Amino acid sequence: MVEVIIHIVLLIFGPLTLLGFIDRVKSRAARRAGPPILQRWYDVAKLLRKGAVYSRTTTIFFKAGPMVALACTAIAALLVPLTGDKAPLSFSGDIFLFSGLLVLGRFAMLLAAMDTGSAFEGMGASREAAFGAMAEPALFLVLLVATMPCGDASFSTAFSQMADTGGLTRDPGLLLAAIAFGAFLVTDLARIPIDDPTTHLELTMIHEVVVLDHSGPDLAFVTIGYALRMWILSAIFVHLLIPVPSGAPLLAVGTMLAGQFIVAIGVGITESVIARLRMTRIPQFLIAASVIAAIGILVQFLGVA
Amino acid sequence: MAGWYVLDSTPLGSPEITALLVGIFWDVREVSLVSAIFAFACVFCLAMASVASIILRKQPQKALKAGTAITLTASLLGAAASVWALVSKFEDSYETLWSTALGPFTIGLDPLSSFFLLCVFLVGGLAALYGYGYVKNHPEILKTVLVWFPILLFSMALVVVSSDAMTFLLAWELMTLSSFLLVTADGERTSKPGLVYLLASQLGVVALFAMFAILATGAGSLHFDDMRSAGQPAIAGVVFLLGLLGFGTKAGFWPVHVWLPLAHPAAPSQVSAVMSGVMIKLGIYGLLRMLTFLGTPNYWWGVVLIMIGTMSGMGGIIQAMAQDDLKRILAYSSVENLGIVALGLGLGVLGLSANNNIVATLGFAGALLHVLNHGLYKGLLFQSAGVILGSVKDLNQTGGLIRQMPVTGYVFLTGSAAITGVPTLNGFISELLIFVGAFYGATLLPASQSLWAVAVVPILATLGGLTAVTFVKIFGTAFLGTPRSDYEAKDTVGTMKIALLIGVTLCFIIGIFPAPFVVLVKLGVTPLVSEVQIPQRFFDFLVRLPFVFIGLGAIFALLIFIRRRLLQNREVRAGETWACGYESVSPKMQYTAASFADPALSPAHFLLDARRDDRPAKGAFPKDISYELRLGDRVTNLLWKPAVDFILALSTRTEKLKRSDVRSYLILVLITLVSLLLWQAWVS
Repeated sequence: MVEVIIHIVLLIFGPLTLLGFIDRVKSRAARRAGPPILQRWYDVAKLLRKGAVYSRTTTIFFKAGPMVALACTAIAALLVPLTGDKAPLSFSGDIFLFSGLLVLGRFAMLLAAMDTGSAFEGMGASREAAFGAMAEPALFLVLLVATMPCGDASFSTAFSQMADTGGLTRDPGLLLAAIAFGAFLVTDLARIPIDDPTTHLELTMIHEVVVLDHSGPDLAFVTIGYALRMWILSAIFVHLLIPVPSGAPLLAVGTMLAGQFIVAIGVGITESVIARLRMTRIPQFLIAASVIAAIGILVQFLGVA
Repeated sequence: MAGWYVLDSTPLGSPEITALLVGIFWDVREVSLVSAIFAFACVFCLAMASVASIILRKQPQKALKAGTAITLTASLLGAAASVWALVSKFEDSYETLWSTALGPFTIGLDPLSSFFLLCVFLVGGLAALYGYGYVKNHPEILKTVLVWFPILLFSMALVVVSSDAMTFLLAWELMTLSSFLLVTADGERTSKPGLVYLLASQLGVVALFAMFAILATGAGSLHFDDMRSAGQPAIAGVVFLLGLLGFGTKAGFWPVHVWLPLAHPAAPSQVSAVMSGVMIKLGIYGLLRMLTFLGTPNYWWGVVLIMIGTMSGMGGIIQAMAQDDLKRILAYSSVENLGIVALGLGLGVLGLSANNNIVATLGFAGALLHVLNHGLYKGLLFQSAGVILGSVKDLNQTGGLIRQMPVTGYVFLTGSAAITGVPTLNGFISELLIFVGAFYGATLLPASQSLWAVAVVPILATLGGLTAVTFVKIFGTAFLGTPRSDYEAKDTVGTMKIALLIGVTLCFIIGIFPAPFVVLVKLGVTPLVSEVQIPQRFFDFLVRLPFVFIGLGAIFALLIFIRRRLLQNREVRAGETWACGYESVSPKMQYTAASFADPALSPAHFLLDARRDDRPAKGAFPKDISYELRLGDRVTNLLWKPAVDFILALSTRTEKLKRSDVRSYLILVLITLVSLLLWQAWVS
């Protein structure tokens, strides 16, 4: 019970802070002072207190999109263990529920974008849909690498078994899986090198342009949902690389937090030193990610045999 | 109707009728017999609907009412009876009075056929209900539909309940013929697609004849029970490949899918719904039935099925993304979905060959549930497409339809979401079964085979992503945004609306409460897997899934509440969509269906025979700027177009011969007869 409460507390307070932390890393890398780490909290608080503007073209889909996406992410966030061995919700087969919920959230956001009838948002939705589809095999292969050794398609079982067996130290396939998952993470969260979250030109945007027309509380929901997704995906990434000790919740939470903030530093530094890929290169990038994850599976098979 | 048939082992006596009356209180075995008889009766009732229409042909409106009423009643009762037969695991077959030199016609039921019978009645019944309203608005197809639609349903049900090769093939041919006549109902426009369909079906049937010939020679009888008890035939691999070709043509597996994207757009909407929803699935039924004759399968059969599934899935969905004709998109997406079914079958066969009941059960159960699910949501999609096409023909001219036809819009959305496989809808559940089956295949099968099971997972995932592209494209273009041209759109009404809403409800029920339906399909696979087995912990997950969805709904409701409270005292304004400050925005500037699909499609241009004709802007005063991209189907062009053209040309030639002169024609007949007799004499 305590662990469930810690889990939920982490989900409430972690995500927006993590985003602010990435911003801070980026500004430090560019030798700027940068906004406060809690800036995202202020932003969301301000958005929640604002009114909203709705295009006359839009219907209920536009308003429902951010809420559906946030609800899906919230449930998905309960499937990923943050406090050691067990997540608040865990089933045999929950990795497929997890990916299904992400797809439902994306589906709702794509419809919300198409609802505006804007060429820009259509363009963004089209790119998000295409790159989302191409990233899908990488995600599933990574999930297979993570869960196959324990014989149960569940995050909780897989990660607690990794803690027992030593994870990466025993299974080099996990390293390849982590690389592929990193590629999935930057695609799903629209970070460099796939997309630049700070770009200001609609024509080059992917994720940002999908939510171009949202304002007020709707935009706040979008931001919270995005931060929450970042939080759980980085948690999975940490789990792949570090066997988080089970049975000691405090130590586990400490490890996870340290890991996630290191991931955030990694994201921030990557965004400071490299540019985004040309749009036509993205499919190659994603196929490479799938191939790496597939090699991870082969490594596992050879290791077992 | 049962009076036509003498059921040789157990005649219908008073205990059974009592059993029917007291229902569940009676001994299960006898009630199950009654439900089976009842199911047979409903099968033949469907044919009665056609007879009624012929009798009432002078008063088409009355004929329509009578035909629909009979079909509906038969479907409703038949669906209930087949569920009961399935639950009570009824398994028996009966000889009828009629027979040929090759043996009597026999009909029977086992859990596998009960399950498919349920699909036929369910999807067929909904389509008949929808068709009542549809045909009223389309008087030109009234007569054909009235007579042949019930016959199509009847023949499909007969395929499923037949238990010898003779009855099966006759029913199969009747199914092909009646659907051919329905496809070509709408005049000249539809004759070429119809001919291609007929041609493909007949080529497929040749393979089936060969397959059944081999099986019957081995078993010494045409009866399915004998074929099963004869054990694995000597050339089981050949039988499997012949069956795959024959049944795969009906199922629309890539690359023998060629008839599907032609026939579906030509047919009336409820016929497309039935053809795509059930008829092509009978190809799957045939494959499964054939597998019961072949003993323990070889593992390469599973590999072949997985490869076919991959090709159908990717080939189908890529073509679906490329099209801009609504019904063609749906037809190609059927190719994709049958690919998903084939992936499930492949897993099942891998499981059987390795004697692993968990993998076999999950694979086959996933395939069967996907058959039912696809029947339901593809029915919704085709039927709501029928409503859209009643108002506006060209997808690129649509937009904002959700305001003018909200019911159709939400129905189409449900279908789109279900086919994409998002949680809370039925598509997710069957894909989940296949995913989990593949997972267990990856962990439990011997290493050489488990990699094939591993391959299923990323393929299925990619298909899901690309389906999302396709259906967001259609739904976004047609229903969201603003209209791209002037037209008046009318929403669905009357029985069409009722049929669509029932379908939507079923999709949600299966999606939210999957456990009972998984039990149903688990029963359905009992003839295939010696000991059906679904891991308990996975089943627990399915049982708890509704609570997860309740949680999802609760969070969603909470967010709605929060948003409403926050906006209560704030300024909410209506404005224009942001267009970079540009003021005179026209609906033509919206993203089109073709542009939407482009990023996902461009890596596959080589498959699509992409041809560009771009005239970019040149000079200081550019004129004539145009960009054109034509997409085709390389496989069809390379493989099928020459073959179809050749056969059509040949048949035009023989046509001449036939028309020339009665005497020469008679001589031709005589020569054929004599040479057949001589050949027979030489053989014996």
